[in-house]
Amino acid sequence: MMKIYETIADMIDDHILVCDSNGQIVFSNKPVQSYLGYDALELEQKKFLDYIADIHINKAQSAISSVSDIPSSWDEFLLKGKHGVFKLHFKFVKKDNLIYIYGNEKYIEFERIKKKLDVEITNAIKIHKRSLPMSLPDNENISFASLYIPAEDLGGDIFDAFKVDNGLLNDFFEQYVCFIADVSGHGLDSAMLAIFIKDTIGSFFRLKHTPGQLLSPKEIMDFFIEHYLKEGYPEEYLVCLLMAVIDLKTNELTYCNAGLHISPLLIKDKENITELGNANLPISTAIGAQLLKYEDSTAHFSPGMTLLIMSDGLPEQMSHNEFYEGRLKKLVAEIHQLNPAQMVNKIHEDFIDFLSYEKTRDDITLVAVKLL
Amino acid sequence: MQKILTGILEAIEDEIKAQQHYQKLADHAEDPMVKKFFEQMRTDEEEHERILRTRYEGFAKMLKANKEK
Repeated sequence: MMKIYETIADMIDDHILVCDSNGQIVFSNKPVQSYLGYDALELEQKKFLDYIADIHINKAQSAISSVSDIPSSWDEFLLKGKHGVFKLHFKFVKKDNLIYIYGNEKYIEFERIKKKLDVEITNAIKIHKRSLPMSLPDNENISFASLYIPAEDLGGDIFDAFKVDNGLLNDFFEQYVCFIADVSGHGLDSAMLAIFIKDTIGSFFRLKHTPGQLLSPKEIMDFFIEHYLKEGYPEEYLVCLLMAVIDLKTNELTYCNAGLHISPLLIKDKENITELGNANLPISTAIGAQLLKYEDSTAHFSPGMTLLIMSDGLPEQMSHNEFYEGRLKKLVAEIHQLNPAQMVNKIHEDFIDFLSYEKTRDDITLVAVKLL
Repeated sequence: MQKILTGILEAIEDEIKAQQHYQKLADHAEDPMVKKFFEQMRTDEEEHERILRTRYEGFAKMLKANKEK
């Protein structure tokens, strides 16, 4: 039986030393032997403390003297090997009057990387959350509201709506920009890409747009694509981006859609709900730049009308083998007269009811805007 | 409002004149550095002209919408 245990101990990656109650080594497995450069007989001639470098001798003594039947936490020790000094992480546990000293450097490395990754993900969540708008425009002429539910801690959707600053010409122009972007995946990279989208659109308004200049979503889209291609994102990334400009002076909605295949809904009343099509291709470096050409489309958008823009997460969520899309459209027709905040609340409640405790499969992003 | 549109059109004309002026200077410049400088000035004026033109379109659109109301 003892032989079987020894064989198992030699087959695993862990470093194992077993000492008697005096600290005399009575067993060592193959990985620890090859790590230190001694064979089993050589190791068993000495005590565990004889192999510890002077700098850690006190720490090792204390670990041996305080050993109990509850495994200790990880600790780092310098060991004197045949060909130099080596670092190992060990845990100590006492069983049947023997002291088991064991460690696994791969596990320690895994723990270190996991810890680092956890910190990075926490930071990315914070950055992504900060990139989402704190509030949306809501005044006597126009009202925005949004619903955002990330599928996992870290989302891959981003959206924003803001009034265009036309400087001294603000009396003449009242325009709002609204966009929704859906990035493939939900991980760290997707969140970073979502932040890049927001930054790039922001830089269009800092660098390219001058007060009063005719605002075209297509032009913003082209600016974004130019920067996206310049960044050289990997081919497997896909960005679906819908840019909309709402002009309150002309009552015109201009939009440009790169791949957001869920059509925005323009709602006049129960019988007049228009799906704004023209989704085109999503943006990706896998698609030739010559194909990434998008055009503006326009629609009349006057007071009383509501525009709903959403990523595919909401309508394509499934529950009981059914998509949410059909139920959403029916609901929208019933509640179109509500203000955007009320509308979004109703949709949220209905969606949670639809889910029946199922987990959301994709990020849920919805923006509702109504002219008042 | 028409005055604004006329003003922008005049500004566009000025930009075109400035472009022609800088191009002339670039054509006559012998020093390549000076030539490049005037060509850059001309490009800047072209960008000003582009901005003015889209601003003109913005105002024209607004004016048209107001008339239709």
